[in-house]
Amino acid sequence: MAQNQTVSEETLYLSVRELGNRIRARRLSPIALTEAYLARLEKLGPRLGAVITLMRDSAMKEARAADQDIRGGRYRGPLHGIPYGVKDLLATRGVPTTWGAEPYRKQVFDFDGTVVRKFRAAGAILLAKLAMVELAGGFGYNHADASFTGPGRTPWNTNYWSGGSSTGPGAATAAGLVAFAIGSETSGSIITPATFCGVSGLRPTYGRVSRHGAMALSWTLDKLGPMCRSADDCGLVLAAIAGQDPLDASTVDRTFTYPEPAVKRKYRVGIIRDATHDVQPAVRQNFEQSLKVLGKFCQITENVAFPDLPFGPVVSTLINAEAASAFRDLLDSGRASQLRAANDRWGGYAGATILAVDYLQAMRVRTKMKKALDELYAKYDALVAPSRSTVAYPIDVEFEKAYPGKGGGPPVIPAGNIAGQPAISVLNGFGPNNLPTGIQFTGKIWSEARLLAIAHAYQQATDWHTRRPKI
Amino acid sequence: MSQKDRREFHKTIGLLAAGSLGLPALEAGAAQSAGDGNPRTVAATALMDIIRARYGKFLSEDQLKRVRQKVLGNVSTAESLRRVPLQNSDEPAFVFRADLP
Repeated sequence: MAQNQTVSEETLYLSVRELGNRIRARRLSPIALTEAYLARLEKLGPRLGAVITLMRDSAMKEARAADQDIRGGRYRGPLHGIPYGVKDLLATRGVPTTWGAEPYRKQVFDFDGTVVRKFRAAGAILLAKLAMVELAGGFGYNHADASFTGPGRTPWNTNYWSGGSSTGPGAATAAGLVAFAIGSETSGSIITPATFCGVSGLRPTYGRVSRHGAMALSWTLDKLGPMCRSADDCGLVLAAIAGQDPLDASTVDRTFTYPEPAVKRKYRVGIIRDATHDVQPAVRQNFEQSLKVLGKFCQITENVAFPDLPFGPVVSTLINAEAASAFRDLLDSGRASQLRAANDRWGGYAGATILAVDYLQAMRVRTKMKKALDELYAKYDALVAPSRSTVAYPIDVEFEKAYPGKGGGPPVIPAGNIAGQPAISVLNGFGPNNLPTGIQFTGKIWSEARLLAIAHAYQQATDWHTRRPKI
Repeated sequence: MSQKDRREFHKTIGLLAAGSLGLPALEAGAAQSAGDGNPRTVAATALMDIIRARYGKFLSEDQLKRVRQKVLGNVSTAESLRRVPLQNSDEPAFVFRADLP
């Protein structure tokens, strides 16, 4: 394991599992691997608008420590020596944590978030704080240029957005700038960039992963989750960060076992009724092809009715009110005027007048929604739908003007977030302008291992997740 | 704030205190017949008065117009959620725990 070994671009695109195997067998140096990812981050990160802070010195220090440990026979597990990045809403001691927003550009915490601490314990190497939509999009941005680092770009076509709000984690993972990344989702911020960048993005069950040290947008909705180049890698990463944390009261003492024991029957997969309503033709076509693949190893139920409940209004009430509280200092000081996107400069103020009874009404309706979804999902291992109704939006067009009339079917993303359910989006083909499309597998709470097994089986039967952008 | 605006504001605050933002159609109609105009608009105007008072110095007139549209949207959203039938026992989706750290 020569520290100065040459690391090919092909190596940088290997799965976390394969990188780990090579590191464990001492065929790949964590130092050389870290150096190669850092060089790629420096070269391509700015072009993709994917990086906020590169952590070269600390990364190399961590790489040398990993190398020394492994040489000394102290191998810690599948993430030991694996370089990664985090969305810049997760606190890292002594390094700016900007939340993607100009008013917080110089913010520095004196502690590491729990997820960062867990990765350090697992021997993973933190390369960079990755770009994000300012304040995770809580103030209503409607344009890709909504971060002080500029728009995030998908490496499949840099004239198009990488998806928000985890713009950097999506683009950096897809372009082989990191082995994996951590994103966050309040309502769509992992699933959307996973789709637009063509990576595998897992939104865990609410309470599965500690948010300690993460920027709060909505305490009752925020989740952290892995963005990787395969479902299998998402399982490895989730296993390292799942678990109860006394520093985050939402976390639950519940075991996450990956991979789960084999299921001795076909997976029960339901297709959500009207899932392809008003989607782009390529999205529909790719989804239908995916269903044919799933039919080989799943028991498919078509036309599964989704509860007709006001998921969108509930999620918007919760986010608007909680964000206005979480960022009250920003609103009260007038510093929201420093935000990049024009809509974000005024968008937070309306939430400050949502009445307490209306917020509570939304939370009471949420209880009914959760019950309805729990009952529906109890019958299936997964319900599937296109991850997004369209491919990525152009960088220079307001979102609502990008693909008029393409709105999609039932509100699967807000519903899943309201109920705290897990979901994973994986690449399932390409549409206009060489842009990725995705299929999302959604499941009942705590069913991540089952969703990962199904998504992994899909990826074993296809090769979409092995495609690489030309950049 | 003009005299007329102030009168409208105080009337609406009264409505808000009575919990009438999410009023069903019958109560909304009653408010309209009282000469307050569309209750949704009246509520939005009252809430905008709060925003103007607290944050007006940070916002341009154009931004305030946009905030008003969003406030109107929030009022409409609240009305739509008010239509979901709930029992007294339907609790919000969070529980306070005395043993929280």
